[in-house]
Amino acid sequence: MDQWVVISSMIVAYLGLTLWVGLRAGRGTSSTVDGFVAGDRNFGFLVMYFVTGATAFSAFAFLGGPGWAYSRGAAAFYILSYGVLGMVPWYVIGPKVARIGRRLGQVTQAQFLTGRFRSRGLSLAIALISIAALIPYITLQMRGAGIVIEAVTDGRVPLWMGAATAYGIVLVYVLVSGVSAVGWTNTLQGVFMIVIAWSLGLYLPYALYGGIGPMFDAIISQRPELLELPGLTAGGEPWTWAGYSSAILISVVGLTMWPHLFMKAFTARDERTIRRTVVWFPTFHLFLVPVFLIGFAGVLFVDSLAQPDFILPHLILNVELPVIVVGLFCAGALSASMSTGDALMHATASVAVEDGVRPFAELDEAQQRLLIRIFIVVAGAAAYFFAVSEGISLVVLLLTSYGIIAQLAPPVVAALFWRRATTPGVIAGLLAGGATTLLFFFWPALKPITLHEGLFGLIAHVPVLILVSLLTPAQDRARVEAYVNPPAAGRSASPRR
Amino acid sequence: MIRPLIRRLAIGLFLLNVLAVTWPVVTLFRSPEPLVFGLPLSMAWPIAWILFGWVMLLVLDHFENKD
Repeated sequence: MDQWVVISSMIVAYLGLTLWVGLRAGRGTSSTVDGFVAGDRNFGFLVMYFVTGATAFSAFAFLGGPGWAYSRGAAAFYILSYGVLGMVPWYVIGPKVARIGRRLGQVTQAQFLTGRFRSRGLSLAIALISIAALIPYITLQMRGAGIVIEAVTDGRVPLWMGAATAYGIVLVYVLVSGVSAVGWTNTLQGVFMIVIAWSLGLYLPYALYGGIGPMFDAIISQRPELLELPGLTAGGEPWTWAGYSSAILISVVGLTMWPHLFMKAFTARDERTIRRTVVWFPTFHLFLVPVFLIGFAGVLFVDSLAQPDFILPHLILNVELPVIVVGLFCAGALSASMSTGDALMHATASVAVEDGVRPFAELDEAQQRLLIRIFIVVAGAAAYFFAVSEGISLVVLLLTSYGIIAQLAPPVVAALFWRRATTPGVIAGLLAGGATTLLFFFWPALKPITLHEGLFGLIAHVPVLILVSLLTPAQDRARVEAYVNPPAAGRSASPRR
Repeated sequence: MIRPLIRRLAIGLFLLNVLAVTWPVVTLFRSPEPLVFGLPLSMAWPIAWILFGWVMLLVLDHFENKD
């Protein structure tokens, strides 16, 4: 039997298993908006651990990670540096957000913020920011899935068909089971990703160099500049320390502000679950170590690849690996892509309806759920259109959206910890931060130093938030206390809906 | 009594972590050599901080949960 037939059969089996798990997941969840968007707030530790980990590590990590290590060397270590630091604030913020959300019946980030800073314009602005940041992210996941399938089937299944198949399945299980499908499929996919990354990451250096130490010795003797911090830029020039350090800082601030991660606070069964998820997150983050080892294994074996993102499929197909390993690798890469993609599609649609439409139109439960499902299809279709169109620089878009998403951090912190913060202050801060970020993104020559544009955004954002808040009247006490000092769980009022 | 102390310790450690992996402290660990457990020093350094952070979170959570 041809190799591609075996591999394709493994992919089909894997996709079938995912679909089965996704469809079963919806059983036992209520057919309410709370059930569809927040899983009836009933995710336990195991599911939360994998949802957080697998959602954070996307196709970008599985395909892009080795690509970065291969082409930019030590620059990739910035990703190792920010993960735990980015998740730690969640130990304090996550349980508080969950407690407030449970009490006030919130399921999205904008609902959380506008619960304290009441403004329909703010709600719409957050919805638009989120959607603008999420769509390119979904597109990257789809392309990742398409690339893998095209590569391992020798082009017999082209990118458009591979992406359509994998994401057709995602669409079915997300439409049927909502966030519960995201939770349970991510558990399956998370296990796949971790096992496969570690096996390949340890196997490849041994197979090609006789060990990890010998591999790095060989790279040091031939390409010493590659392993020295802060590594290289995409063009092969040395990266700047300001660029390296500010990439870490902006990612630390932005990581948990991504809507698809933030919203998962509302799915947790209790506050303890969220804390435990943060405590165990570092074990998931270490998954990047084998991912980078795979990339480094390619350095002396593959001559300058035009598209470094293909390093993993390229290595896998050219190193004479047993066919079962290749099949498993595909399952791992698809897992990484689909586990992030499903959460993203679900979050985009939920945000669009809950924050973009509902503040302006009366909708009952059934209409909301129908509209969310329609928006899931629309978001998927939009992302698919970009995924199969050539020539759109998505990575650039994605890196910029990190700067914009990080602008949601000051309002979240202000809502939870600063009694004197006001709605005009938060809106003015967001405008100042967003405008500054975009200014330096479009005209990088204006930057005084080569920091990430999102950091300049924060530097403008925070003082404006503070100043305008202090110049406007304080909020009423009850609303402030509901956020700064929320009553402990157990005394919860009945949900809003 | 010990809980506030552990909290302060955790805040201190994570601030130290930020300093350790960014300029200028990280420049002390920029070189690939020596290899640490087979990994370049520049890679082993951030990995070590993932492990420190994990241990700190375990300790913090242990005391936060003691009631």
